[in-house]
Amino acid sequence: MLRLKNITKKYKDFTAVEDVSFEVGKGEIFGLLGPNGAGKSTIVSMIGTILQPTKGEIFIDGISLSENPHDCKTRMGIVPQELALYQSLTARDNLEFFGSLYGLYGNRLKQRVSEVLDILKLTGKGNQEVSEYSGGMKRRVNFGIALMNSPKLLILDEPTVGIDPQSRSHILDTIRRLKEEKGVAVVYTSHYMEEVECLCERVGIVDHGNLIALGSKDGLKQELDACDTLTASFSKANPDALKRLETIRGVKRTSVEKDMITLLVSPGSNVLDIVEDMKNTGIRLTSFQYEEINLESIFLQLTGKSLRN
Amino acid sequence: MDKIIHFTLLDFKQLMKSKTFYLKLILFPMVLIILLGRALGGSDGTISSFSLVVFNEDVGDSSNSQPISFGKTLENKVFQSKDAASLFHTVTAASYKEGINLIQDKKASVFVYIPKNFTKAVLQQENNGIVITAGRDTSFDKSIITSILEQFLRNTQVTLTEEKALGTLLNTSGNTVADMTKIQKQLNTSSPVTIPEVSTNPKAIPISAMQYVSIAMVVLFSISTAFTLAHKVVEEKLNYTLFRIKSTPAHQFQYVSGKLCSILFTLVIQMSAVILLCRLIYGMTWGNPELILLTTILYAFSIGSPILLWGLLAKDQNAVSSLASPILFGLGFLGGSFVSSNALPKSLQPIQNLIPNGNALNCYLLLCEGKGFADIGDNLLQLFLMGTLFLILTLFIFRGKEIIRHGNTNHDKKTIKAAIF
Repeated sequence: MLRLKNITKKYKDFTAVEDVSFEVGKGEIFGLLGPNGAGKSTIVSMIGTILQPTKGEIFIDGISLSENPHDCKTRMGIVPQELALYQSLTARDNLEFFGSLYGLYGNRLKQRVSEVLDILKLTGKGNQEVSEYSGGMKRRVNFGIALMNSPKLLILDEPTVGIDPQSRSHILDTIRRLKEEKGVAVVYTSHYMEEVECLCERVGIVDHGNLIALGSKDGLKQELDACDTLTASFSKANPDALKRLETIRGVKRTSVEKDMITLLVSPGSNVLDIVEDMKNTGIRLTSFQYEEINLESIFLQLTGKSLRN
Repeated sequence: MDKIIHFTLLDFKQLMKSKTFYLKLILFPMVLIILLGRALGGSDGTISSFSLVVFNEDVGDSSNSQPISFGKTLENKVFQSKDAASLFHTVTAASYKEGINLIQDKKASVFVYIPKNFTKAVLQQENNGIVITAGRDTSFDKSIITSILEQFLRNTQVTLTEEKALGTLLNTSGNTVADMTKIQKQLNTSSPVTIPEVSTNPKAIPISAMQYVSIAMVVLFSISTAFTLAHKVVEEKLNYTLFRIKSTPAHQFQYVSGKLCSILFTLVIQMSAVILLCRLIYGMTWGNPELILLTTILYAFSIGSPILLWGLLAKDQNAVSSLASPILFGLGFLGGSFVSSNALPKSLQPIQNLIPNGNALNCYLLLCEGKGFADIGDNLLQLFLMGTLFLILTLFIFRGKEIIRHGNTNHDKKTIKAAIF
């Protein structure tokens, strides 16, 4: 459904995205991960024709985006991470306006607006001004606009940032339903690793504009010899003690942020021994949490930083 | 075409939600016009509202076979002509003292005293002794009367000179006195008595100062309104809706045309409302309505296009606001909204014909003076060409414009970088 072939975006002497290639099949949910400034939004903007790639080509449903942007645009819906809405208008007005830009009109437009309001569970509030909505409801409308043209490809750029659990769960459920019922292909970028973990079948990890890992979650875990994660919070530690952490047996990598230590440890290590060794270095621990291999640890291992940095 | 209408309707819907916008759109220019109207003279706001008192003691000259009195001509024909009646009404005083008293009691604005030997003094080209007295706040009224008198005296002198030359010619060629009297009568009846009023260019016939001010304000306020609409374009960038629009199949020319149509629509509403209200309140005549509408549309096009371009280029609202004031006052000054273009330094006068508001002002004035399409055709063409040039430029620039979004989670940060490559 979507194919990026050696995409590069340069701004004078700065390279935002370099030689990125991946494919997303029909009915597949693809996660795009990366820290801030990694180039995720630039990739999304290039798919959305907001930016022109300096090099490379994008195909949507087999159609070249550079040669036939109009046809490509009719096949996809984009949810930007910002609230791209007219706040002074009602949700219905917003949906109608953007629907009309996709060539919908008359009864067909009205019917689609009603369908989308129903999907968003905002039928009773469709005539209310968006400015009066809660953050979660606004996010839902922001998401709903991308559904107006019944897209085959849905690009979601951090669609759940800053919303209540109820709205988040609603958006994630809708994405799953669209995939299952309509076979919609989805590109999903998020800071929330657990969302990507439970939603996406394949992931691509972007850092400094490069695609540094690509594959299924399980494939990546095996391929990268990923580690388990031990996260501990501390009340007191001297810098020397923190440096000595990497000498503890089983610890492969360490990361310290404020009062939080993250250790990547070899799978099967004895956690209690590691915690004991940490105490012996002079760190006063207040709590700790152990997780088996997950995307977060893969990400940390690859980029050397937490996804929420 | 459908999408252009949707873009236009979108702006209209948003503006309708702003309860104060349309109020400002019509109320502000009207308030300013009313204030200026009062400043220019009284309750009905036109310069025709003042009273003139005349005390005429002129005994005339009866040395020729046909007695003549310039005092009577001035009092009964010039001051009570049809043109003069549209500017002031004349009252005759019984004495000099009564005339002065009427001025002191503010029952009249200007008092004209015509002395006994006025006719003789004019004939002998001596000091005519006429006295003009005006109240404290009626200097504008006084200047009108002074201009009329100067014009009358100038015309009289020209006629007398012509008469003298003709007499010499007739006497030498052997014509009779009766023939000369006949020619003299013809000269008297053809002698022009014009009344100067406010006029913007040499081609224009006079119109009232109030009307000039109204047109100038209408033209000026539409620039300000266009800038308000440019803010909406910037808002679209800052709210990321432009990003979203660009990701839809809508073409760029549809977006630009839709935005331009909404600017035209709003400006036409503003100007029509002000023109209509001026007509209802002050009874102003604006000329041919179709041509007024055409001028308004073309003027809105000529200022809408560059301001839309600026809205698309501007990084944020400050960039629009910072440019709005210098443009508004600069164009207002050069275009003749604050001072008549004739009052500008000679080197600056040609600019009035080049800038859109100056062009529009001239068109409106010509239409008010009863002129037709042939007289304003050049100005309209200039406005059209100006608008088209900027529209092409806008389409060209908008096509190559890329919006760089900040891919991060800091959602309070409302910055967006716009760059042209």
